[in-house]
Amino acid sequence: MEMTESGGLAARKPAPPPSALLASDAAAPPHQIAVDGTARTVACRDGLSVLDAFEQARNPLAANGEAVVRVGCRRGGCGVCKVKITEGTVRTGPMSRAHVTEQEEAEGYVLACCAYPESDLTVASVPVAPRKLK
Amino acid sequence: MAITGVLRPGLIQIRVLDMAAAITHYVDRIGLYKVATGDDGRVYLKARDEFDHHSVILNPSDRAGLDYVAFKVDGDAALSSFEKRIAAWGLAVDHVPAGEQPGIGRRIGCTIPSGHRIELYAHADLAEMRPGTLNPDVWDAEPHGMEARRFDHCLLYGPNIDQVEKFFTEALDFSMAERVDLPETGALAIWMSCGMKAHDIAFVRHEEPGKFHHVAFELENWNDIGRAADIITRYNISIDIGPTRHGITRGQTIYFFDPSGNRCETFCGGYSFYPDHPVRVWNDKELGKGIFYYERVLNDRFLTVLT
Repeated sequence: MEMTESGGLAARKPAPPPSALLASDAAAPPHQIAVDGTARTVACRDGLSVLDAFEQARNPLAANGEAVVRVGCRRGGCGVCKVKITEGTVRTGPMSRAHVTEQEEAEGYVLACCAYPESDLTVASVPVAPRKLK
Repeated sequence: MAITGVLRPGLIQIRVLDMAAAITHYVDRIGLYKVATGDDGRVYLKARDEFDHHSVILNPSDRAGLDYVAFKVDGDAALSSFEKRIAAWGLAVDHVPAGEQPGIGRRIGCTIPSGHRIELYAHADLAEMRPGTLNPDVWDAEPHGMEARRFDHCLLYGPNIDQVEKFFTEALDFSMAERVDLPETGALAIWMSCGMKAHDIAFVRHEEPGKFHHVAFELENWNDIGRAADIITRYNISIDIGPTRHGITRGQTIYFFDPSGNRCETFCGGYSFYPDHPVRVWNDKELGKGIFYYERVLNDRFLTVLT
């Protein structure tokens, strides 16, 4: 039985707290994320995803009154935070191919929770058919 | 009451996008133990209070979600009997030979009308690390993380849940413990039991087949739910909702997401169920309280975010 990765001394070594991300504030000014069709921008500190930035900005609404980005699993699996990057570049983490195909990724579609800005960005809302209970 | 036939949900195979992150989540945070790694990259895990070889299988994939859930039955004769009953009920049954994964005997499988793969098996090797049986301590290896005691149940989303209810009750002898009935469209959600738990599997009606809502792990008490919440914040795990309580099943609970976006629950409590109990029913007037007893309102993310 491997107690692994866990259970042993290594497991008790603390991971850096999320607040460690604040240390980068001084080093790099935040990237600005503009929302297509609105005058609104949100700031995204280094190390945060596009979705993190929208959540921290209390998720501004697009012109149609819907949230620009829906907040779902925040980890690349559920697909509800899909957006299209129309200007700028991002680095991406693993995203479920059930929601972003390789071709879509090449066209600029990403899950906002897995996209980390490398420049100022413009993003467009992607209408993901909301699942409804009936 | 004697539990015969289907004993419990025993295996669940979940697809993950990043295996290293998944192992940290399920082992270090939820508190499972790593048992083995397969040649195909699958990783086998177990909880500390389980006797069987493993219960959770992480499958490396480019998409998140559920591969299957498997129920353990009380012996090979029961397995053969269920094979006939499932076929007679009208589903095609396939066979997975022993050795497809470590420590587990032959399995039978079928795709139910909600689009999910359900399997049955009768044999699991005893785990190397398992609860003691002679003058047993409360645990041998010191618990870690959220201290999950067992894989407990899952909630799945898909179409045709009326048919799913009939399958589980008619072919596998499950009982209905609780349901949500809407006045115009009928059953929205069902909670079914094969033993004395308030639920061993649950379904919510949904257009897309084969969707995964959550896998649940049992903790010992409400204090442990609070400690799970501490761990979720401390390690910046994506939170869904909680700590709170469900009206349905009465479980005390917290929901969060694994690093691939699969929803996990750690919970405790819930009522004891006997198969002669009447079905408990919720309607649209109090559904908020049924889902979240303290908040008393429905939560869009909890109800509609799936893998």
